[in-house]
Amino acid sequence: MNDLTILRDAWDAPEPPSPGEYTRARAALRTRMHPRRTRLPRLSPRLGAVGALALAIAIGLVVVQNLGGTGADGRPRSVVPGLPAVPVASAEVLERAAKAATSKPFTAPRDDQWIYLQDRITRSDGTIATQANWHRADGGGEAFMDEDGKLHVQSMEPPRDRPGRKVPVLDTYKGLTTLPTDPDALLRWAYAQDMENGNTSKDGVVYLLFNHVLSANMLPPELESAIFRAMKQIPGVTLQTVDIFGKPTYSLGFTDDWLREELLIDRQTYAYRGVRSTVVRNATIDPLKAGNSTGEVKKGSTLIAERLATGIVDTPGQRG
Amino acid sequence: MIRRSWREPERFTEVFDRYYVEIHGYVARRLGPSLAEDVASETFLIAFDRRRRYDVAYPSARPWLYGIASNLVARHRRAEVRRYRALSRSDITHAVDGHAELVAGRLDARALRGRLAAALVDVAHGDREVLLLVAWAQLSCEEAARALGIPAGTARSRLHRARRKTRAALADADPREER
Repeated sequence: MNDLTILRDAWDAPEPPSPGEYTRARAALRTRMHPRRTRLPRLSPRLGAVGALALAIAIGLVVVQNLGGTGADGRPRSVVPGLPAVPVASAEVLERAAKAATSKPFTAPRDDQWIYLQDRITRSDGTIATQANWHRADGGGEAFMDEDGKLHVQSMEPPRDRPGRKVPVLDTYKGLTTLPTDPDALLRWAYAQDMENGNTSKDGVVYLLFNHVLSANMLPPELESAIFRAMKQIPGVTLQTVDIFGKPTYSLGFTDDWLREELLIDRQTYAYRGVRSTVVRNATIDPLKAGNSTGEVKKGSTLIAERLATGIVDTPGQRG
Repeated sequence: MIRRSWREPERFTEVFDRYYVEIHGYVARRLGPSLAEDVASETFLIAFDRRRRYDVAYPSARPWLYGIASNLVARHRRAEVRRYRALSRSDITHAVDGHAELVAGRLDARALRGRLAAALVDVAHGDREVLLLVAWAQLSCEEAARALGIPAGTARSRLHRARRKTRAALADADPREER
């Protein structure tokens, strides 16, 4: 034993904070995070706190219907004029989304350019906020616009690999371009990552990973396309048509215990539209995860992050 | 994690969940449980406010959080020293009682706390910061330097100075430990 080890062992392991202390400290932090907001059930929009095991939903060819219901003749009726109300297999929808991703015009950002993302966050309690963020393609900076319209820019040293510490590929646009664009290879990569999210199944974690990558970035088209093709192979992922943004929209969802996460895809253009998180049943969860003192989350509470705009610009603050 | 929280502040609670207990424990060792609650809580509030200044090239937020906690602990320097002094007094009896075992080299580290606490009183504050980040928070010397915002060489010499005192305290306890 050297002196440092003795110094460590000479003190008893510190008592953990009491649950009350923990809750108070966490509540103080959350108040700081949302100074103007009242108490809300915590909804994790993305890779956040999710509850227990995901419900095992059958894989694969889920039949999708238009939301128009059935006409007098017994045939499905479309709510969107010109859109045929035919059942669509999820594999087919995702294949179309994959093709749409690669067919749109795209110029990759230079390392020193900034990616602009604008989202509208709508919660079921009625709060709406618009977020405008910029991040430099090489990780050399980040910026956001605050609620008063003031731009905050933080330039940073672009992360570099160091001995024994590689920059996580998910942290920068540049890193994302190194991911496999073959769907099978991408899926293998995702399953091989050492990630966890509470008790979420591995399939759920991989789903959440792709959900997060799509929602927090602008992606090279080949990667976006590969993600759509890879996602259709994840067991438990379901495809539905949901009524959101004032029109039927494809929802690629995964339910994990009390929480359902969805990736929203435009039915006409097959473009990424946003993400939605929904509490699917009343639950009492860890109060720390619920962000309130009782730990109750209410069925039907939702959080929607709708992508309003994206762009590649030369300086933060520009909107393309 | 911090980078995500930067774009999505909601994520910062993940940082809290991951590190709060650990930071609380570190502060509790240095200042005792009653101050630990306030200081650990404040650490995360400050960290949230400063999250955009965090250098995301580093994969772990630990040293960064320990740096903030250290600065807050420094405001309670006198309370910290009082605590070590009290520990050194209360543990003295125990150490004397165990003298035979001590000589036999069988006494566990726990019995050495009084001597170490007395030594910590004598270590200069800046040296103690590095020593305890290395011994208690188990940061490397480089991480401790980074946490405290001092050059790595400075941290190394501070650690060296501090360890001379703790080693001397231990050498008093057991001559065979002397180097």
